[in-house]
Amino acid sequence: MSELIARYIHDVTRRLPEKEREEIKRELEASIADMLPDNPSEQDVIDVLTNLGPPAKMAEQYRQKPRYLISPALFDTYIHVLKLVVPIVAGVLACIGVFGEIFSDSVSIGGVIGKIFGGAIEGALQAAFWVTLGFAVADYFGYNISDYALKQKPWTIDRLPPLPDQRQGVKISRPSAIVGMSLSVFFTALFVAMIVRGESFFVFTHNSVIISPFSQAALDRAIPYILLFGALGLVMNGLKLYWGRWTVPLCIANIVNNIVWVSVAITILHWPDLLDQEFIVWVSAFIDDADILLYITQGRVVLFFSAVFILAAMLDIGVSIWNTWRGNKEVTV
Amino acid sequence: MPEDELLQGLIVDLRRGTLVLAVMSSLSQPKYGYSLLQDMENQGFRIEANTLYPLLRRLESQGLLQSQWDTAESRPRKYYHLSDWGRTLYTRLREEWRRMTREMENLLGEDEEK
Repeated sequence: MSELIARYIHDVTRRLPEKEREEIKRELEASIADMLPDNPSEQDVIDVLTNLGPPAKMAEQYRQKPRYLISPALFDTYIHVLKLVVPIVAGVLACIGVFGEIFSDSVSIGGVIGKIFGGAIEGALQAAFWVTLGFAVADYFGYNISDYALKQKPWTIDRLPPLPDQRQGVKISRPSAIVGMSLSVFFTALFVAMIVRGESFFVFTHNSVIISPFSQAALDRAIPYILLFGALGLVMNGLKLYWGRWTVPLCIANIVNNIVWVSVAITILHWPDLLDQEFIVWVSAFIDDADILLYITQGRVVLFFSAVFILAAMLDIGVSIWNTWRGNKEVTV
Repeated sequence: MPEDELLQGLIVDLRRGTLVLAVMSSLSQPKYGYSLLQDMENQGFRIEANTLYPLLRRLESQGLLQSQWDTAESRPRKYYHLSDWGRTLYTRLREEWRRMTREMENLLGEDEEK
């Protein structure tokens, strides 16, 4: 019967800090004994203990400090830091994984994609863990950011931040700009790596001979231009991210961007040694004609792609002009 | 019913604010946990044991109460009483309570006139 009491008290004190347990145990023993008649029956004990209520609740009342991992005071800051740090670390680890895979001994598309996801997930988990740990430790040691902030200076009206999207104009979504930047970096790195290593995904096989459509010499010369395309993509998307909406400067930048990449692309198209000799031989086997015809065909192909590029560029320029005009005209009722 | 739950919750909140003052008012003489509980119930103040005992401990840790174990009797008992500082605070708290009650009466009284 006193075992019931002992078990009850134990269930309360086990939830409490060790240095408090002995004292609380003595107090509860005394109080419970007071609440019981002399020579209490088991039912008396049960009644009194039931009346005292759940040990968990009692322990909660005894606790001086409420139990959080991260207290409300720090929580806002914690979430803010988390949102900032986790994407960055995830992105960095994904990039590192990709570069590692590309410059490793065996490259494959599957491997690259795997490294992207693996790097991103690992980065996200690591960042989340360490940020959480850091804040939990800070909380444990009683570091209270809002206290710290309050001690600085009292809040005044001029500390109000501006409204987020009061600017006019057609918006450019941030994720799409970030994705654009990532793709620019990714594909530039991929193509340069492939050229440098003498491998290529764009191959045909013919009688178990691997033929790349582009000549290695041309590819080697193309590397600076590929880097240029990457840089252009990065800068354009960076500007889109920074401004967040279509403005006249952004539109002009986009026009310049398109003019540059189209000019360079068409120039490359016109390189006489662009196509691999073996490739030409292989294709002519299908065309089943003389070299002259192939040359004309090759000329037409170049024209075709040039036209496609110019069309794409004009479309992009047109859309950006439209967005800029639409967003910046005065709105009249 | 959910309305009942809400009402109960609001009543608990209301009562929670009065606990410390109520407890301190009973402790001008030293008392032990159970005797304090009985005294308060006899005066019509409802408080649960699992609220009172931890509260006494907390008030002691805040310096408002002092305690000593009495081992003279057959069973050891822990007696609490107001500390000097606790006594001062209690007086001021009681004043504040009377002020608040007047404010509330004004407010609530106005309502009934409508």
